[in-house]
Amino acid sequence: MNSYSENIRSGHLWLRDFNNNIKTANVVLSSVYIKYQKYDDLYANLTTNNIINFDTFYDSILIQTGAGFFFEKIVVKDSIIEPYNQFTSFFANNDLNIDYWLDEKEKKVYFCGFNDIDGFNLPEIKFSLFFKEFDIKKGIVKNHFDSTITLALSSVSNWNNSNGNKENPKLTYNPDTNIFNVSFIIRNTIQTLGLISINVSGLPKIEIEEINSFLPFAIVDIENSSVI
Amino acid sequence: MYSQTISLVSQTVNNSAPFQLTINPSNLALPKKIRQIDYIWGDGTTTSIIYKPDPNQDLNPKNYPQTKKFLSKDLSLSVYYIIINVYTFGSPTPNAYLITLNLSNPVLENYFEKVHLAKTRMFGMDNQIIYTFETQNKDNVLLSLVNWKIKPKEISLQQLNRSYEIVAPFAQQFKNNKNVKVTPSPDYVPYSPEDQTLINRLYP
Repeated sequence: MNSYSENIRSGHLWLRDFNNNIKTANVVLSSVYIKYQKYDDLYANLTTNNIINFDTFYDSILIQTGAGFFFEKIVVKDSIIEPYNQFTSFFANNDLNIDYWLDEKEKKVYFCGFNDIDGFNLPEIKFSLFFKEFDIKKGIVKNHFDSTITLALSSVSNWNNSNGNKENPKLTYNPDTNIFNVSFIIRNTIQTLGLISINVSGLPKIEIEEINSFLPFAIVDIENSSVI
Repeated sequence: MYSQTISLVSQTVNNSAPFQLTINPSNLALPKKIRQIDYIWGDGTTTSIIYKPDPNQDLNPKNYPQTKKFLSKDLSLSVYYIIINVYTFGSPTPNAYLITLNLSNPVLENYFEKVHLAKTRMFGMDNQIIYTFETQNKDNVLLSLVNWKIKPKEISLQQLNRSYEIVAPFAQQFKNNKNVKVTPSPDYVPYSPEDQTLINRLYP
């Protein structure tokens, strides 16, 4: 199985507890999961141990299920793993359209993804990109932007109301220029492969700076395209 | 690799590169026995199959199908004219057959079934990006280095059928749309009201 397939399928997560016993994550992390009880779909996935992605950043964890994902800074009290604070950083996202980048120097995890939006006028590609950070030191999520990007198209080939078939974005960071990049594949109705690249300026002000695209099925009309 | 086996008759074959063509001459029904078949492949190479008398083996050239691999020659259509000359005993003039082979570059994702973007890494002052693609079928990893600052000529829709070599097209065929208007929201709220209350309390 390739890594793409691994990242979109649920599996069972097993962890070793502080008594050296290997147990399912819903047992070892039960004191963390209880914090998310009010999110029915998420909690159902957590308690049945249907986990799509799990990652750790120092004393923080990322857990991703089919119902969404959350970051959590954890502490250990009396050999029990508990949440560090009361912040809830759950993001419902059925499409799993996120990627993240660990800044080891600043102890932050930057992450981005798509919010699905309704309504678009053909021919155009319209999507909402959010960009946030999880502060590992404080266990808090900070929002940077949630922008609606509209790429007006001309000379389109095989494009209809699908608004494009987007894949998960990939996030990377260039420390040489303090620029993030979000890239993702987009396809038309006959699955011709296109690529959109979005450069995002780094701190102190994180915002979209530049958009490039490889769209062999269309030409982008720059005058009528926008980022809001 | 795409492949096809054809009988030895004059014909046109349309397919996608890379392509493996097998010509089977066993169907030939000539009045005299075949002494030699020359396959002139159209790429500068020739294969000659010559009759060799041997009481223990049937060395008739018509019993030996010939296979040849063809690659695409440019960004669009590649045409190969394959000439097969069949010589019979007692005749200096060959029976000639022409096979026209039209090879288009394969659509990338037809060839690999599906291509996904697995990872990206950006580096250097030009913000060059290494794109790591992963194919669904055959489990290949394809790397492509892109400098989006370069503005090459735009491609036409006729060039959609790109080479199966993913690396080259991205370096040459993308279009740059860097002047999209960016209007940042001036009043974007970094934290939710609940979080802001907590932050104020925890981190005054």
